[in-house]
Amino acid sequence: MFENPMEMYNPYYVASNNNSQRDNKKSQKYTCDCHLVDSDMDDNDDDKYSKMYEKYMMDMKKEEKCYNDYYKMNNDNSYNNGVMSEDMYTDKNSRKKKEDKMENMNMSMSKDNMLICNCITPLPENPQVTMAYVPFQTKSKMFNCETALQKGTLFEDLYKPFKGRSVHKHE
Amino acid sequence: MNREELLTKLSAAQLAMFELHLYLDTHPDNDEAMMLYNRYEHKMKQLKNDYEKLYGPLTFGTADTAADWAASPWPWDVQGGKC
Repeated sequence: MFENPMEMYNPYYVASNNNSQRDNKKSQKYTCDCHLVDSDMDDNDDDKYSKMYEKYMMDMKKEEKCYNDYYKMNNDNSYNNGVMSEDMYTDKNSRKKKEDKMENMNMSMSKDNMLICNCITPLPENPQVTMAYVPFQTKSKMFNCETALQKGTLFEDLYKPFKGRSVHKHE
Repeated sequence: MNREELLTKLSAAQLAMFELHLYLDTHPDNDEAMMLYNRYEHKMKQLKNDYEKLYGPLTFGTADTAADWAASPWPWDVQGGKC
């Protein structure tokens, strides 16, 4: 007979006072009185996961080094030992301009905030009559990410607020 | 930085990541965009880490126990619905 009615319904249910060594080992991980045991879990899983974790940490350290090297190379002090400043996407000069002209905050971006794609023209070189074309996004000026959150897009060209009338260019 | 500011920053970094992801769909060879994506991803991970250290798990995957997750605020508990 089942001591606990849960055992009857759930084949994976293991009570915490189970005497088998394997289940005791597993139940140490859990603070609850009872838990569901994954049927696919092997005893080797602990080793496997610790190895995976080590590999993950190694990758993270490599990535960290990459970033540090990149910023050193570009003499960018906005990134110190993995701590990024809020305005890491604008250079110092543009930040100064930004402070001078607070009302034009979003307009004073550094060149870094422009994504340029020269490999293709916005429109085909030989446009055909009767065919409609959507210009390809080639030069894309970008908002900083918090402005982007307010405006709903990262790219200035794509910011088209609805004004209830036709608008050729937004202010 | 309070909880809402941190959440806003996190949302902003995630939006930037998503936008650059879409951009890279149409401009797959743009290394600069890829680099920016990586930078925003790094920033997002750091902000998420900071947030979780201060205010508890953001997603079920990072919660130590189900109880931690259940005890953290639900989207309707956060003012302004930012979560």
